[in-house]
Amino acid sequence: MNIFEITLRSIALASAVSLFSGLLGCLFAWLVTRAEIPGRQRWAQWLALPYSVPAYLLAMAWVVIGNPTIGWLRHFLPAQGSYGFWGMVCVETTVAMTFPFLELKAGFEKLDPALEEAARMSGASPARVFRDVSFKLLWPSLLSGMALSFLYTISSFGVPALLGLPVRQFVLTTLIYSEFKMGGLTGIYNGFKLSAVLVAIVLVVLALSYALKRWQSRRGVTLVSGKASKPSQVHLGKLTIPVLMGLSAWIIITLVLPWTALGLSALASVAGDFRVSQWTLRNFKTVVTLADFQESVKNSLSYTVCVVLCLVSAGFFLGYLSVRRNKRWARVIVGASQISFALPGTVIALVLIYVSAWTGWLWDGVFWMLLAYGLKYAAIPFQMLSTGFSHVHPSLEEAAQMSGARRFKVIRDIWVPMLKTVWISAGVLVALPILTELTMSVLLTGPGRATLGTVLFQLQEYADQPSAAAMGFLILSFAVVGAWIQSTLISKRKNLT
Amino acid sequence: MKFINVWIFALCFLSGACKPSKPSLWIYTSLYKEVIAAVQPPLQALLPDVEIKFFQGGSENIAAKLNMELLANRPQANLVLTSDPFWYEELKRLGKLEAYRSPVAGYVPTAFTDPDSFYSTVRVSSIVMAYHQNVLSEKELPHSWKDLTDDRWKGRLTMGSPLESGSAFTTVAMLFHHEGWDYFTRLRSLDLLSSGGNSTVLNRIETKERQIGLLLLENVLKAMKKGSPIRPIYPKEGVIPVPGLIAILKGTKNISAAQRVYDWFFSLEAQRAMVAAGMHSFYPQAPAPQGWLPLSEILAHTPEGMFWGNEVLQALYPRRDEIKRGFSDRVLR
Amino acid sequence: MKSSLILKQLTKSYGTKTILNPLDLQVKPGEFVTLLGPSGCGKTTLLRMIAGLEQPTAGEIKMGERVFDSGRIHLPPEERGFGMVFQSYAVWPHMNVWQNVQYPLKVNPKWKSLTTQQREEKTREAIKLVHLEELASRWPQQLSGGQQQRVALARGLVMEPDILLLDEPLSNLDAKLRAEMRREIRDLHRRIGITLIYVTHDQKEAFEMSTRVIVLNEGRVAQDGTPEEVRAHPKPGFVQDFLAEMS
Repeated sequence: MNIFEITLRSIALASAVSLFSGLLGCLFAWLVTRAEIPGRQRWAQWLALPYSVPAYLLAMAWVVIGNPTIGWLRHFLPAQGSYGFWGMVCVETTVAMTFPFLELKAGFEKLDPALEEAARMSGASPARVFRDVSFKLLWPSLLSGMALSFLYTISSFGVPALLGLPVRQFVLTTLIYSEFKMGGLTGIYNGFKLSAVLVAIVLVVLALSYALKRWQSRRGVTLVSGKASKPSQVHLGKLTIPVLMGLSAWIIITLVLPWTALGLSALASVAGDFRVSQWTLRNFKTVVTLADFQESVKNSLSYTVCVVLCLVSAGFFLGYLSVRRNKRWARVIVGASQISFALPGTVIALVLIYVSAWTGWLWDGVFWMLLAYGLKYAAIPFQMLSTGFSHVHPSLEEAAQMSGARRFKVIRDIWVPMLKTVWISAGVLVALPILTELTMSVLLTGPGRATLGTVLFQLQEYADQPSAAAMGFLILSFAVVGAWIQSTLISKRKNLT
Repeated sequence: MKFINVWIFALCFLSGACKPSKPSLWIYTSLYKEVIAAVQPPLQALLPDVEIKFFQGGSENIAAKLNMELLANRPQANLVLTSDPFWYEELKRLGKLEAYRSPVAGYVPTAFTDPDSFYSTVRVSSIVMAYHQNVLSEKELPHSWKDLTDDRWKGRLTMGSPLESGSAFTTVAMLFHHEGWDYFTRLRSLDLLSSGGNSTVLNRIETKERQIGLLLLENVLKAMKKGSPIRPIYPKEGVIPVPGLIAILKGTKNISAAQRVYDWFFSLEAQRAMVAAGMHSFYPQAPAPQGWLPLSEILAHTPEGMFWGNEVLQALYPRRDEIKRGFSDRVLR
Repeated sequence: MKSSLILKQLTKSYGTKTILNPLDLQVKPGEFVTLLGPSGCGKTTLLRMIAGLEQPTAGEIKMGERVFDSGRIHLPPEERGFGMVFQSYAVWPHMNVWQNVQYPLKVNPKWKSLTTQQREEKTREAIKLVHLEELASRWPQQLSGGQQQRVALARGLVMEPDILLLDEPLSNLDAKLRAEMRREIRDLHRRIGITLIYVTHDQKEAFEMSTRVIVLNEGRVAQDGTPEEVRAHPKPGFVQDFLAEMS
């Protein structure tokens, strides 16, 4: 195994994904905030949904859709189908795109529309406006989103495992996995060495994005508008229909196809046989009647709620302390959470196994599994809440202080309700990956601790593919519907406040 | 204050499992859940003063988990029951196992037992070839491992990856021992698809992505029971046996209980459970898994190369990394 | 010969809500028209429709031979050649004063044929008009609100627009600055004679600067006349109450 080649491939994969994610994210963000298309709000919702698709299900579905021998769409795809480097790039981009998309969408929404309108009045076409004004002011948000896409991809395991390995392409995460699982006791050291390489790459990216943020805040650019005016929409004219078709095609590729692939696989009585005459509900029955299934639903839900509560409250206090009280240690913790986010779940789980064995403390309990979830996904609420705090003007807190409120009351009466949309969003956004988590769960599970992910793993390894697909279909449906409900509630809230 | 209540509640919930009433005995195993369900009640009845607990996972996950615990020098497992013979040899050489000569495991052939009694074989799985009965007719089938090197199999073969699956590693080690590296170079030129584990190989055959696969017989038998069109092929040179081993971890406090559990796994009751799940047993009175030849016949058919034995293990053990590297260099690039 | 801006039966509604009832208006070249009214009366919407930033639900906007809005036709803002000054100044933070003011000359097709020297000449003139010569190389973050507003003015004027549109440009300034800017804008109008359409809710601005005041209420013209006429004879009802309130 050429470590250098594999490292290069990991970096190349993550870079390509972040590049394409940036391009698409930019385009889509502009379309849903500045272009005159019907149902912009809805489109924005759908475009952000792929975030909720668990990576292993995405990979499973794309094997069904794109494998070169029997994939549904193999005739539309190049020789290797969805396998291989470019297959991985495309599949990862379908999810990674949501990071720059959401960042830029927020950026556009916060941008004073007058800045762009002034350019148009000066005679610039919409394309020129984008080039000279919007992009020049929003590129930090774009880069920040692209950094997230990079980190997401470099730590991803599911897609490289199912789409890269069949054509002999290893990346860092799949090699780390192999060393830890197949390398015996010596393999552990190799695994940690490779993890160190991965962490080094992550640190470089994080350092760059941190430097960017510092430089940006020193520039002191205030983009938030005074007058709450609706920006003027760019009329697309003849391009409206092609654009709408393009958007629909994207939604179909990123959501409908994988969902259908899993659904049809779940209905098949024999793997690979999609004939309607052979459809059966037997696989769903198998899944739902599994003793572990009901236990796993209960467990996944309660574990998720528990971890989300802890992460959101911790993120809330850390955000307050790092932004409003300028406590350095709080900032460090928030920054460190991004490193653990970019670590492969396998590594986090194994380190925790080591610690739990070494301390012997609560080894047997669900604690370590919850800690693993917390470590892996803390970055999401921590980042969102810190950003939330930094966007609200300090005068609001100062007003409360002047009226005599003590610090804790200020937090309770001002900050908690003011940041309601942020901490609710953060909670829901972090709940989904925890609910559907797999790689850490299978290592840290135990009797009575089945989760949705461990049940799927069980079915995949020890039962048949159609049953695994049935479970996958249920998990995916649950995740996507859950995300859709959440975004509907959030946007309803936004319209009310 | 509401927040503090939430934290107290969370802590109580988390520490819920930290008041054990009886001492527990942990068995880390890759046995199927049905088998565990069948063995747990009689085992528990046998040892009413000890709580028997199973940590069930794939062989590879068990190995990763236990290795980390060993790294911390505090293994939580008391017994381990998986099927990667090379790993057990490593654990033995590093002094992580407890030797125990079980009085009831005498029927297991010496070839399948560690001469120093650190581990023994509690079940035997077999790697066979498999095909989709609607895709290939009887006439077109390969009949030996060597047959797979024929030109007509280009683009039609698949197996697990020794970098991901323990049984795939054993397969590669044995084939290497029998056929050498040229075999694999040849398979690579035939575009052998090597990735994943047994279930992945099964899936590839069922979906017709590939036509001949190398995987565990028990997977094939289980699938057939569910109505799958997959069928096994018994290679002329013999199946590749993959012994399922059991061992006691050093440092186990309740050694006598662990030894009783060890013994019990060699009893007829336990062996019957193994056979029911599609694995072979050495127990004299245990029948063969349904639809397959009895173990004696399998072993009779294996000539020197496919024959598993301690000498084979000892010969291949030091070459583990070489085998993995050799395979990756020849097949995985 | 410059032509008048003609608005015919101009209407704007969002769903069931009507912002502007059918409105007819004519703005002669050189006029300084102020659209005066409380918030929500439709004055900003009217201005933005003239600018092309919003599309009327019905009606026409024409200027001489040029049709800006009519039925299916909607000329985008970049092709109308109007200058605009925004309440939030909208001075681009990533460009300095010089680059801000010069920008229209770079992108407007009308000025494509300019040489670099001619462009620089025009930019200098515009900056001189608003008395910002010493600050030409400064960045917006280094300027006060009033200075930024002048940059916006210069930028609006540099392309010699047919009409300059101003959307409550002084609302974010303090009283003293507002008084100063009112004088400047009035002087500017007298000097160059450009057509100005100005939106405000402040009657002081309306009466001090403009040549014509149009009072709007709930999407309708309540009164239209010279500042003297409107001040001396406000129409009873809304206009009277509105003006009384504000003084």
